[in-house]
Amino acid sequence: MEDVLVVKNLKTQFFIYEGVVKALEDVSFSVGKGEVLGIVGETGCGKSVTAYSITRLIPDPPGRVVGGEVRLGNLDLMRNIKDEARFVQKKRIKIKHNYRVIRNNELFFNTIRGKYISMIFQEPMAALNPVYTVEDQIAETLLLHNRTRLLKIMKSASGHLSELEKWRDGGEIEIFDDELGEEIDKIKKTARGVESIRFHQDLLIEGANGFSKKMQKYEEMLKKSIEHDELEDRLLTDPNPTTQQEIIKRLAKESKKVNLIKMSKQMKRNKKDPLLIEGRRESFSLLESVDIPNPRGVLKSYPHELSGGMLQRVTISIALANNPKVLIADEPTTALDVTVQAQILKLLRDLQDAIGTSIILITHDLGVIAETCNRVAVMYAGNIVEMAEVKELFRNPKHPYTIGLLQSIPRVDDPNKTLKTIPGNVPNLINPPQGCRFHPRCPFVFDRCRVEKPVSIEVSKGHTVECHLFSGKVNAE
Amino acid sequence: MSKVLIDAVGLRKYFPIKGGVAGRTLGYVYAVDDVNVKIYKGETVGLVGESGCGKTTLGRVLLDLAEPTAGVLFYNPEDSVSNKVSELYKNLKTNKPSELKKEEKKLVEEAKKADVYRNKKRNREFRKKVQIVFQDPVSSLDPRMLIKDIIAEPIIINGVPTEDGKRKKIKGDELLNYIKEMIGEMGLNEDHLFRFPHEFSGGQRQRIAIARAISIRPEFLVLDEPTSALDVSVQAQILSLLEHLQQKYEMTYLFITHNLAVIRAVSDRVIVMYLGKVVEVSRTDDLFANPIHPYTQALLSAIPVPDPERKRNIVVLSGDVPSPANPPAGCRFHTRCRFAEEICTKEEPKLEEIKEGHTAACHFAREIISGQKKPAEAPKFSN
Ligand SMILES: Nc1ncnc2c1ncn2[C@@H]1O[C@H](COP(=O)(O)OP(=O)(O)O)[C@@H](O)[C@H]1O
Ligand SMILES: Nc1ncnc2c1ncn2[C@@H]1O[C@H](COP(=O)(O)OP(=O)(O)O)[C@@H](O)[C@H]1O
Ligand code: SF4
Ligand code: SF4
Ligand SMILES: [Mg+2]
Ligand SMILES: [Mg+2]
Repeated sequence: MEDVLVVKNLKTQFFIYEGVVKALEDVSFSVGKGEVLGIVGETGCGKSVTAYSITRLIPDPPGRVVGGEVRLGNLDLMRNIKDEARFVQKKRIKIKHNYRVIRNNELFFNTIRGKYISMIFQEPMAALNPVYTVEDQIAETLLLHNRTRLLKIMKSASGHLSELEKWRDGGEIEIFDDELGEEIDKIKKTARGVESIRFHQDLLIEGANGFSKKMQKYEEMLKKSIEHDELEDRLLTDPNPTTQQEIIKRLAKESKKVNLIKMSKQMKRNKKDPLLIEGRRESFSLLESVDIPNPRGVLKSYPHELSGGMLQRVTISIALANNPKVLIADEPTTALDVTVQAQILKLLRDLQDAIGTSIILITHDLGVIAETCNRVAVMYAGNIVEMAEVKELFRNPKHPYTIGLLQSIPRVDDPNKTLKTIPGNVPNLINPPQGCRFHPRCPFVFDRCRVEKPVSIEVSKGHTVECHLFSGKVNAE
Repeated sequence: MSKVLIDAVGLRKYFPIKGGVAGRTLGYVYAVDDVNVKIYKGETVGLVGESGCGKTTLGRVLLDLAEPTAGVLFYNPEDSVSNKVSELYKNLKTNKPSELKKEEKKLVEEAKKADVYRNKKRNREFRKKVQIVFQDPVSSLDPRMLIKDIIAEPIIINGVPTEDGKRKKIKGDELLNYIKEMIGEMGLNEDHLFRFPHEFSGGQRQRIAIARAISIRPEFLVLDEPTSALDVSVQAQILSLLEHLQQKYEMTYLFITHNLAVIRAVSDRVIVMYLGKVVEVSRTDDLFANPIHPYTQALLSAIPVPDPERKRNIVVLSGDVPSPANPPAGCRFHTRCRFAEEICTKEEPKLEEIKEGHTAACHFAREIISGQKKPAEAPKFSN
């Protein structure tokens, strides 16, 4: 299977007053094309920090990715992370930031996030802006990351002008204004085979001639936009670091020119911007794709007016709007009821079948893992301690922590199971235990565990464990 | 069967929705709507349902921590009294207290004497015998109090039971020793008594909350999502602690949770709620093996099972739970039920015993379990 995302030796720390929180010690994994990789572990084990490190959403200060690689295609997203800051060892560790590098990386990650890697969160509200309608928010992401798509739609709409005019003259479409809702329905009904036609009012009001001038402008934009997309895609496919660097520079220059933030501000001011109108219309079909009942009503709502399940559908539609290569879902159903969770997980599976995005599904629920994932990584205190195909992991868990975890969950399908507990608590990561971080709670602990960090060992094909019991030198029996 | 400890009849709790200029009441949230609950001595009853269905409200009303809009509550009742009043309430036709008929009101008056809500003396006794533990161990413990004072508080107010069944107040060294013993039992140690809540992990805080609740040796304990904020390995610790305490102190539990796997692990009987109504009551094993109510069936099918080799048939419910301020007429589940027929939109199904020890509120309960009635592709009456 082709790997879409490869994470190697990722190390993330938080530099706080009390000391350095060694949140990720050494995290490596990969996600295959079209795969759902589950990351499971208890609170504080570093699941979210892993996700945030990959997407560079770690708040800095206090957090920093201090080492490792994250490969998306041929590109290492962390390639110059070391240039961003120096660490000066004084009484406490001091960080000296290089803001020029950081700013450029930030610009660059604006491209990556939302376009190639998307995220959804436990609290969908966190991803949405409370003061804008759902429609405006979807339109905004489309405008930022998928102008090509909108421009193409506009272009195809202009090709149907004569048909539209015919309908108008035949009285089949009457009023035209911004709120085209019902008109679209009517057109869909009358237009039979041409449901995909999108259009905007300028087209009909200004007629072919007036419109063609505008269209010229948009075609220009479309050409540029396609070029831009190609450039971005090349970034991921070009194996040569020097060319990559050049592309990044070019993209940075361009995005400074188009200043995305300014653009989205303008957009909000100019509600009649045709691209924005197109984005709003496109948001309708996006909501339809996530099975939202009454999409029109939802589009006009503000986030606080919607239920948790509905909001999560909205954020999923936004996250998948640009067919990202990887979707990272951080506890997407934890705040939801089981019946709603079932809806959302089914939706994620269906969408994945349809568009083939790879998914990293973070959860603390082994049931969700079992039902949704192809492969699982079990995390404990900043390390992936075990990784395997999902069936293999549940049938044949190896790491003492995984075994303990599986024995501590109550089973709805097995009422007579006696729950075992894992003694103790998760360690403080400022002064984590030496050697194997699980050793103070491990029933199999022996001397070596207290001094030496176990490395990842493949116990069978595709099944790796970080535990000295399996390193061969000691008999596991 | 053992003796009835709690018998609540016709419980209703409506929260007024205020608004408008003069803060007028615009409507009600029908959080708990005509619910009967019987709990037997020594058992653990699981109360399950999705968020907002009224579990917490029911738990609070049962402990008289929230004033019921209507209903009676008998604690340790004589069977004759509770049966009579149960009959009355079963036959009540209306939801609105103001619409009660005159003779009905009269019967309600009669019940007063035995009713915990209305009889002051009974109420005082009752309060010494019941306690509650909340989900969130952070907000339920006063951050400015030492653990020792947190645990001492209810003891100082209520005293502790003595050998001869009375209660006595304790203080000073006697109190401290008593608390030390308690905290040891919770798996914490004496040093912990002189710390503040924020110095503890979530699991430890829940142990403290439990210590406080059982410090007065209650007979009846309501546990409102006690492990929902905890990790599974810690949850297992707390569940086994609760089981141990229940046996040792002969307590009766009402265990509220939305986690059906936990319900299955801890409870003897289960009450399932949907939108302020009890839709099914059953012995635990039978509920999980043979759920009757379509909502329970969907709920059970939605639980992800940690076994990748087991393929389940998930009944994915369409849409959201309707608002409890404006619940659907007839059967409240009819907007999402694939078995629904015309009658379900008009007539509210009564909770009936469908088979021994297993009751459900559904017009088609018998047809559904016999397989005579098949689900439609989609709910007929969704809107
Ligand atoms: N902003 C922060 N400051 C300090 N420590 C943090 C911060 N964010 C996360 N951490 C630490 O990183 C560790 C991993 O956290 P996280 O990834 O959020 O865990 P989870 O697996 O529950 O998602 C925890 O020990 C947490 O305390
Ligand atoms: N104090 C209150 N005032 C108004 N409405 C309330 C209050 N407490 C609960 N409710 C409403 O009553 C319904 C039931 O709530 P609750 O009993 O907390 O449900 P659960 O515990 O099952 O999640 C919900 O719709 C909730 O919004
Ligand atoms: S390395 Fe040692 S302490 Fe760590 S899990 Fe394995 S046996 Fe236990
Ligand atoms: S069949 Fe009718 S009464 Fe039974 S649950 Fe469905 S809607 Fe309610
Ligand atoms: Mg997290
Ligand atoms: Mg509740």
